[in-house]
Amino acid sequence: MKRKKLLKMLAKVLDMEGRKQRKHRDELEILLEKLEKKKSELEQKMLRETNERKLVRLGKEIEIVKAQRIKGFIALQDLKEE
Amino acid sequence: MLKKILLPTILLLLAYGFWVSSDFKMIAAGISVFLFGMLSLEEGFQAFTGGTLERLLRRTTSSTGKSLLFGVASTTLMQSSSLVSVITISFLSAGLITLTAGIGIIFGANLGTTTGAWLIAGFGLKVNIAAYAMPMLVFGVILIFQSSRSLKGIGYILAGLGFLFLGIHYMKEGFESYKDTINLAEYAVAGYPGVLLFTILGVLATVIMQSSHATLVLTITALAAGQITYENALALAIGANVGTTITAILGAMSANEAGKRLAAAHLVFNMVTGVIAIAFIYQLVALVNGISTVVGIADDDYTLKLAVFHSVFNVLGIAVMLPLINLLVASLEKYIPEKRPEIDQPKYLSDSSAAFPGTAVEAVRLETLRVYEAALRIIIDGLGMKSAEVLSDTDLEQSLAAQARIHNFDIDAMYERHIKGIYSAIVVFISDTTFSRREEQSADLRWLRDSNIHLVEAVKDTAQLQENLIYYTGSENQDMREAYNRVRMQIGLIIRDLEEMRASGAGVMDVLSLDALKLLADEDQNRINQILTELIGKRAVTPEMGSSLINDSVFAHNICINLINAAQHLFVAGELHLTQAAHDVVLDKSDLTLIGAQASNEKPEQIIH
Repeated sequence: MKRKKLLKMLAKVLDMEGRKQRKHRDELEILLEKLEKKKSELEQKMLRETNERKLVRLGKEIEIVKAQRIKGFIALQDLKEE
Repeated sequence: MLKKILLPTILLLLAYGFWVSSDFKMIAAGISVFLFGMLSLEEGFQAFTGGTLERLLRRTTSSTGKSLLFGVASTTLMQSSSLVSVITISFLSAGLITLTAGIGIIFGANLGTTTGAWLIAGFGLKVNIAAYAMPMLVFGVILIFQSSRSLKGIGYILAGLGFLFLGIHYMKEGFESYKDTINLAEYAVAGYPGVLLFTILGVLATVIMQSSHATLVLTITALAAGQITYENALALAIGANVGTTITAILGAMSANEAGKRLAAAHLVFNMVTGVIAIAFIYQLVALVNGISTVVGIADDDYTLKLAVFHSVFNVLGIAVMLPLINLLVASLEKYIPEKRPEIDQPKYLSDSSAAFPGTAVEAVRLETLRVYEAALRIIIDGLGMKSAEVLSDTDLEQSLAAQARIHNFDIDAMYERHIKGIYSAIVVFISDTTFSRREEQSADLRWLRDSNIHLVEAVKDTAQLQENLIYYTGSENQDMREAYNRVRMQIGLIIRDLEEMRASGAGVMDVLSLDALKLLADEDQNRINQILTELIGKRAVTPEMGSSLINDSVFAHNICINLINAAQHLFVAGELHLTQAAHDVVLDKSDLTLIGAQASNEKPEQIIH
């Protein structure tokens, strides 16, 4: 019994799982910031673009980045709640 | 067995020879010093390879005449036809020169090497060259210890020349002393039996010493000391000429087919020259006497006459073989065919790459990139498109419409040849290494394995699509032709986008935008279905045509999605670990369907691609 308690305490001190989760969260936060930056860059690019095919593609990319950000925020929320 | 006893036997025989004759010791030491000088000289010239020599070689081999001159000049300068032939083999193997140019150099090298006989006979035996050898050795050794590569090279060349001169000196001394105790000339064999016997001896001596120069020096010094007859010396020179091909043959063993062809050409040339020289030896002797009289060589100066003979029969060989050079090239290409590997094998997967997690992942990524490149080639060719058009800004719609017919392309055979071997090796490599890796690397390997699976599926789907594509793009029904061209264009444009992304050095953020390509692929498929509905409504296509097009549009869509999925893990070198977070935001099929549905509600008139 004492050994189990000791191991539990040790795991809490080391908190490998928690550390991994924090790293994952940090990475996700950085990625969300990058996505936000990318969205504004794409919007700027769209204003300058004249090629119709490229305009359509840029529009799609903006939609995708928005959807990815939403998905990322939900994943981040889940990670924070865990 | 023979190999095991050969060296001890030679050593024992030499030891016995040294014990019974100090003159023999002097001659053997002379040969050894001479050979060491050759090695040193080669080392020195190799210091200049990787730059000057290569540039020269490339510039001076544009025609057979130039190649021939280059062979003469380089061998005269380096005093080693073996070094020139080995370098030429390596250049040919690397595809830097053509076989014809290579043969030209070898012919020239044979003539160039005769200058050695002139130098030894005309200069080495008449001047006390040991006096020049000493300062050369001193300067050479000092320069060898310098850190500069060029100075070191010059040092080796000087020391090499010094050792050559010293070796000649010792051989000369040895034969001079020998003359007082034993007369080898008493063992001379007259007539054709003698010619054949001494030719074989010349071949053997050159094969053992791996230097025709050494054999010639030995012959000339022995001739000068009167230890061999003039006639036998000529035969030894012929034998040395044939035996010298051994170095090129040994060098070609590790070379590719091109290198082997050149070594064979070298052997053919020297054999033909040797046979001509033996067959017409008495006529050649008469010719040499005539030339010697004209250039003022004394009748009894047999060493210089030997040099003349050496040059004459090599010139004769070139004169005979040069017109046959194209025939020789064609025969060599026929009898030594280029072996094309039936199945492409992995380049990066090895025990050493499996030793570290990072290198294992990168090795698999690089192999997967090879599979990706092969898959793109097969898909482009299999769909009757041209890489140059797909991978440029060419108007694909226009170029595909202008295409009259698609030719059959064996996708299965190409898959077997270019993908299967590498793919199988990747699967084995991953399953052997995954469980011993850290979790992060194991995940990377799994994603890369998935990339491979996607690529293989893309190729298999292309094979499925190909049959109808060939049939309908050649059909009379213009609507079907246009519909299938649209299917091809959809795939071509996705490949173009992927390749643009790869060329720009994709990072994780770019890879995330691959989701946009998936959305475009989805919408393209919807568009094709819409066209199909219209065509069926107008009765422009039969129900069979319609069902074929529906199936094939699914194959086309799968090809696009599989290529995009493969690229998702493949393009991010060194950043694979970031994809853990990226994976959280990558959109799945349901997300894309939702976005697609929203887009079509908002802008129903928009045409993708």
